[in-house]
Amino acid sequence: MKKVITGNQAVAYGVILSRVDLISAYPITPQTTIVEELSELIASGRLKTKFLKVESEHSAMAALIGASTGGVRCFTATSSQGLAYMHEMLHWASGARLPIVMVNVNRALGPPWNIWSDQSDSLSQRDTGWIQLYCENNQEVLDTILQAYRIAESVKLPVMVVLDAFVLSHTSEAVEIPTMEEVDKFLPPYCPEYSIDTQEPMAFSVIATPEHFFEFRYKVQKAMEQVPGVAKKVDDEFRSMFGRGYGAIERYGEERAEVLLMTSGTVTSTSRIVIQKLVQKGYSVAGIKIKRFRPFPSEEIYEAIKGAKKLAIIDRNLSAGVGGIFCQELRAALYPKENRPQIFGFISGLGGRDITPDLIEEAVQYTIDHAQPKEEILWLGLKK
Amino acid sequence: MKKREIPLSENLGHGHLACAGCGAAIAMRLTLKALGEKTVMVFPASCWSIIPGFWPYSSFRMTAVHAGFVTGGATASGIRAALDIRGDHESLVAVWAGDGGTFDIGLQSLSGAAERNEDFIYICNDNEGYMNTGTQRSSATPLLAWTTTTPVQQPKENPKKDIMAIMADHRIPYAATATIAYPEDFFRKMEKAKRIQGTRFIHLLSPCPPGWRIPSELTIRISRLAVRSRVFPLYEIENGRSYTLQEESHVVPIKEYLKLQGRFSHLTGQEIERIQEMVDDEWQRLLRKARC
Amino acid sequence: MISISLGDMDWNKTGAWRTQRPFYEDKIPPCNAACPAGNDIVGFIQKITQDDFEGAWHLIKEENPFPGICGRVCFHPCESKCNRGNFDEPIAIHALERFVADSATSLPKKIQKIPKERKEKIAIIGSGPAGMSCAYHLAKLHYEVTVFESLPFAGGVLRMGIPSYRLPKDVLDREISNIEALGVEIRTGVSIGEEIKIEELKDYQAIFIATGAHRSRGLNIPGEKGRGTLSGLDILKRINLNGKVKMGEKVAIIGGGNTAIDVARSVIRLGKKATILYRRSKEEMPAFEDEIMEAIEEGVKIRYLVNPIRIQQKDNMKRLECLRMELGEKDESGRRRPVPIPNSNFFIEADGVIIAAGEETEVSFLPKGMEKREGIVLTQRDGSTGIKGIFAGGDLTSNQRTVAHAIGSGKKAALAIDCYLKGKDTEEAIRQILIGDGPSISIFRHLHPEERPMNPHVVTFEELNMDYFEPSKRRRESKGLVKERIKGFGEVTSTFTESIALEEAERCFRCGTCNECENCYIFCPDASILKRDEILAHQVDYDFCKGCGICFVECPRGAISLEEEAR
Repeated sequence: MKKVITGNQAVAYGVILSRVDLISAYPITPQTTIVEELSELIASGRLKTKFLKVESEHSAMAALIGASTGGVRCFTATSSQGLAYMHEMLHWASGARLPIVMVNVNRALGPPWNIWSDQSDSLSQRDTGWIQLYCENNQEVLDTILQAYRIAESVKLPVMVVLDAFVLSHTSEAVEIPTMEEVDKFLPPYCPEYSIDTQEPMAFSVIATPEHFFEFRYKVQKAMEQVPGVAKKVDDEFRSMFGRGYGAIERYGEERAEVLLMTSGTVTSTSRIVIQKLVQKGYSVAGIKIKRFRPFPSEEIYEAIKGAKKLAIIDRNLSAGVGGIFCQELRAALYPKENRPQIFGFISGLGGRDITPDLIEEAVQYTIDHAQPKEEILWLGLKK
Repeated sequence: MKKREIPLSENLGHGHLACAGCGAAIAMRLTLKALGEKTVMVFPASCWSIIPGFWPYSSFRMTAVHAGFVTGGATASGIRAALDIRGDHESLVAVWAGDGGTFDIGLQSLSGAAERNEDFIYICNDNEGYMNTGTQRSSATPLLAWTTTTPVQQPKENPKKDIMAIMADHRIPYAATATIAYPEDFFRKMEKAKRIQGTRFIHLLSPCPPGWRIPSELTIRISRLAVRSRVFPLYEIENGRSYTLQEESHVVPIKEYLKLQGRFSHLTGQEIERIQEMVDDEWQRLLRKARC
Repeated sequence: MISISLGDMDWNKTGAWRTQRPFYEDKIPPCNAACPAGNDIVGFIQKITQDDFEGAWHLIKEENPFPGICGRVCFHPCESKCNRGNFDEPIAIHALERFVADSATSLPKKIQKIPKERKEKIAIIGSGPAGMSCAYHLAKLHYEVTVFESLPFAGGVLRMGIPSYRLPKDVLDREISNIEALGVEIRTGVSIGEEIKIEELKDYQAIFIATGAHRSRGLNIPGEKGRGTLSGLDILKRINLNGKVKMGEKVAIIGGGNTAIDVARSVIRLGKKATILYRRSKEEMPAFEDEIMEAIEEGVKIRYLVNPIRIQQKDNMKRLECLRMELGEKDESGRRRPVPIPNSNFFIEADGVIIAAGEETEVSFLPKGMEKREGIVLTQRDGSTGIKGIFAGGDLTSNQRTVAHAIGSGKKAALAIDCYLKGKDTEEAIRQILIGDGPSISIFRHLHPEERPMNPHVVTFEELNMDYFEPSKRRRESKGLVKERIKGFGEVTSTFTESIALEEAERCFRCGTCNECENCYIFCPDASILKRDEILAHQVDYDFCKGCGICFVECPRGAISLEEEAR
């Protein structure tokens, strides 16, 4: 059934269809309509999910950690300050190997106070052991949530599904909403190997000495290494069932392009138009959308960029002192490889400044025109 | 002689790593006897992150979930929800947090849970400081006590936070103080708490020999003196309103309690008087509340 | 893979942390240590609390054949030393002993005669408390015992010196016949020294002389030996044998001990007036406080600081010339010496004068070779005299003239005789069985050295933990109304009822003996106090005990000891 819904509403549908048992969330712009929608559905009886209206984001994640240990499927959503507040618990969720799925609406971290689109919040959490999946449109948001539970419960790591503030969260688009029966065939109920059972007492998350801790972390890394294979399998299955698939990355534009543009999130939508325009003008350009940030799809990217000489990447985020985070990860991913393209790292759109088609075109043009970037960081759209 | 009615099951085993004479170990042992085997105990970071032992062992003989320092109330809320969703309405969810994890860093989480009247028994094991990390002050540390962050030249400057008043103002169905020198009283309160739905809060005073600078054999005696000197009165609050104050027949001056503890050995006569006044004041205040 | 713990910590033997170790060790309570008869007081009180009155009776009888008597007439030094006295009031131990003895009268079992396995025969001269105690213990040691008593009835001072209102005759008769039932022969009406000389008792391999002190001490004042001036001991003897004695309307009794009081109260019961004249003040009176109080209630007048110096006859009355006294320095008895106030002479008139100023021994019949000094026969600690095979005890050999001391000395002599006849070292035997530091001994421990081990340390009040006790008044035996009491010689006090006895027994701290209060079990942080269900005993789990010492401090009765851990 096709409906015109906002990104946040798409999230709500994703949660309903995933038969989430427990939601625990704290309101923050621009996530609020997710929790409002869900509260409405629960109160009206259409959704039989428990909703713990906790008093902070940190508590939200803590409650989910408790509930997931208790063996139920959980969900939360947050953004920027709230996500940062949760940081301690994000480490806990992955260390405890709990398949929690969280939606993060990308929003800038203050000060200065800012509620608009910016990827710095989710990317600041890149070391917490969470799988991170970015979405370009509302359809993808809904679909990613369904896939996220499959992946999470398979590798036993939590998954963050990311969408842009306002641009997606509050913008309506047409979305194909699958039926519950269809989703049930795709996503079976959650059956954890270990969970709380007072008939079988155990102690969870106790202290481990240097004798043992190292191996626990090794296992987390091993689980992350399984994600590409598992995610592909899940995506293929999804595609065969619902006719839609996303891959870890998506390449569009010229087959053999010399210049590539890498983007993530809604910037990709705009980039598609720009690349199409430039191709029509005769340029050898193509675009790559990065969907999965963590674990970084190094192999997939390497395959996709074969033959390219230059690579422009637009980061809607900043790691002060280093530059764009996608860029940094890309550099690290390509370092061991041969025939590396020249990388042009652009930063744009922080704090919700519009990344217009003109700006994107400017970036691509710059890349085409220069053999190498004049600066480490290329600030796109910065006011002088 | 009448034999005491104490549940026999030992749900805290031996071989654990508590210091000799640890008040919390006695408190935990009695608590787990009272709660029984069908309990999930959430324990945010505290001495109990270490005491039950290292992975893959645990001296807890019932389900225990170690949680982040901040998160006693929240984690327990999640677990209770999960158990209810799975149809287990029999198992009891309890939280065992220290004073740090209750009065300070855990206060938000506890307050949120209490406001929602989450269905668990929350036990604050109060040893009046951050003892696990080496005896730093918390807002539960009493006035003028020594700790490593309130050294003798500048002992704790503010009185102990009144956590019972805070919990009462959440209008939870049941809150009570208890301490290990009065085991029958403690068991009675736990039995009562178990029969009540909603958030139940027990403020349990447990002397800490290394932290309070007392010899290990005096743990129970000092716990009793805390009640007898009225610095830690035993009382219950139901629904945030009705106070039942237990009068102690052997009242002693606060000096008797303070003089046994190294953490108070620097006090002058004047300071002891000041503390006595404060204790007397608090007692009168409780009496008034009990009479209403 | 997930940090879940399934194993327990039982492998971690935290006992290795200890620098001190607790252990259960029964110790001597001060009451046991103070009892001259060697009763296991805490033991029998514990049995009362367990509703085992018969067990309590048997326990007392291991050491002392006369619980019914002691419960009525003993001066109860146990109660003076009772640790509960430092808290509120001492336990009414005598009343509990009496309760146990009186309960035992309703028992269906009969006392079995003890088979004589030893070939030796022992003669005991005197059937007072010392002699009967010795006879009792020797019979239990399987000896043939014959007691010689010069008077027509057995009992010695118990029958002759103590009035019935304090010790009813039926109680005395019962406890004596309990001893006879074991196989002891009592030959009354046989006076050793007159009819039979001690040297003639050749059938007997050992002799115990316990003839007591029955001669009245004189005042050495003019007129003392006149008609109408009687001795207190004589009066009591006559009353106890015949029930009646003729005497004047107003009787003056000179003395301040129990005999004087007993005489005065007997006089009242015979319908006469009694006035006691005592040369010191109330504080120095050696009579029991309770007795003095009851005497005063019954109408006995006591005049203090009065000393008669001459007795004159005036018509049918006696006229006593007295001096007033004041108190000076302390004398050798620790009491302040009475000093006459010069020219304070005054006169008291009375129909009868009874002198009850102390008693002396009769030693003329004793064989040569027995050392004496100031009227006391000198013996070793165990009762042996200078003559081999002849032992002595009781009032004959001591100035501590109490029933309890006599019973204790009889027991010790029995042990000494047994060792003597078996060629064993008595001193060594006694040393092993002293209660605390002595001088009392426990013959149970002599017969069963492995059982009921105890540390000889006597538990002090400071070693107890008062946090576990609530003040509670000492229960008192009810007394008859004065006007009823003085009508005759019926017993003044009543035995405790069962419920009162249980209440009073519960007040006992049980110093030094574990009574399963379970404080140690409840308060152990490491669950290292094990309870054993069948055998009532706690045990420390030394694999895990960290030696914190909480059990030691919280034991209300000092039944746990703490020692350094030997490494």
